[in-house]
Amino acid sequence: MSDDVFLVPPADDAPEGAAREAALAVWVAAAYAAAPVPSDEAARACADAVWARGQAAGRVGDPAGGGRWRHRWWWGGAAAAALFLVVVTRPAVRQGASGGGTVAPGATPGLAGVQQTRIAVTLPVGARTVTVVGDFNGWDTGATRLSPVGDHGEWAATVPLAPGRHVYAFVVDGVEWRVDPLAPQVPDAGFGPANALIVDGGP
Amino acid sequence: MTTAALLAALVGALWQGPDDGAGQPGAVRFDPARFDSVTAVALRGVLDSAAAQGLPVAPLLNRAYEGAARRVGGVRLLAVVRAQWVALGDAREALGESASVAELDAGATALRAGIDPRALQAVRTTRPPGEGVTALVVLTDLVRRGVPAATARDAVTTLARLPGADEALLGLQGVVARGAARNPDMAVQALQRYIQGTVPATRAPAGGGPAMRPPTRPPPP
Repeated sequence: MSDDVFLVPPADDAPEGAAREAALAVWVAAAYAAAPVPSDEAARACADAVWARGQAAGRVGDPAGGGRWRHRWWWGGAAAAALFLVVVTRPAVRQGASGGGTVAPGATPGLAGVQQTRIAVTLPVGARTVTVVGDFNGWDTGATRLSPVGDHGEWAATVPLAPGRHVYAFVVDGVEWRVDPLAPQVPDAGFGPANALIVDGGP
Repeated sequence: MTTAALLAALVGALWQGPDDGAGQPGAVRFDPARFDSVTAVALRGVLDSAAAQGLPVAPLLNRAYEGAARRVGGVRLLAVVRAQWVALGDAREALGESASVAELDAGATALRAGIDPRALQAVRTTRPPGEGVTALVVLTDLVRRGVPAATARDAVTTLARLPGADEALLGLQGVVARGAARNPDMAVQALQRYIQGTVPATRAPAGGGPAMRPPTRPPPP
């Protein structure tokens, strides 16, 4: 990530005011899209550089700190407008274009084809709480609690699942990750083992 | 970099974020708040690159969320996501451009389990487009439980051609899982017994081994 890619602002003859901000946003987005994938080390270096330059730019009026980019009164309004666009408009664009149905973490999907699927596991007696986490709930450890069934250590929950393949695991008492030893499993890819299930009707 | 430029970068990055497949079944959204800032930046780079290659982003996001839920460090999390990204590309080569997201995800997991890409191709040819997920999941599970990859591939491709293949495949998975739970060495035996009992052409002929003979009632007097 080099300065000539990310840190050169638009030319001085660019329009003033909000138009300049919009041009700058377009330029930054284009540079971002064209940039190569950074390595972990490069990402850290970039973050450090941004932080250092941000601190330097904070010295208002200091020519060494970027006097050409002095704070101006309308930046607050531009910031509020930009955040409004991001927070309010963007979700509407995405959902409107897709017709809804995005599986947000912790949300109940509203897709056609969603099936109520029972997920159960038998654990040694003594567990106080059991939750299931997986692709279907954004791996939110507090989203889907299982209820005890009988007195033999079985826990179960009915979960609305979209068609497709879902990876999941169980969390016992909030700390211990477990898998169903008899259900299909996916190998430990670096995090620990997990189960997989298939809901019919997927693409 | 000034406040304005930082703000513009934020807006641009959020607005031009990767196509996360919102609206597709099983789609998820990128929530950078679930990661530290450096990991979130690097992760977005991976997602952007995967999206630019036409690869699905949701499987990568799911692995990232899994890592965050398991509280693994950013470096390890990114390593897993990057490995899954590479495996997704390899799975697409093996399974073809028409493979569904679920098939690609299952294929990538199979490759990361050490299964040969040719085994994926063999499995793929036995199932209609978009219906190979169960076969891939079962193949991966069998290998994970100690069944040799070639044996698992042959068993899965055999069952995958049968009517009601998914049920037969899941039945095989359950039998092998229970056998392996009793004794890891019994996984292959359980597989062979199941295949012989399920596939007509492999059933032992009359007078064959007693273990293969279906139970019969004595003739009425």
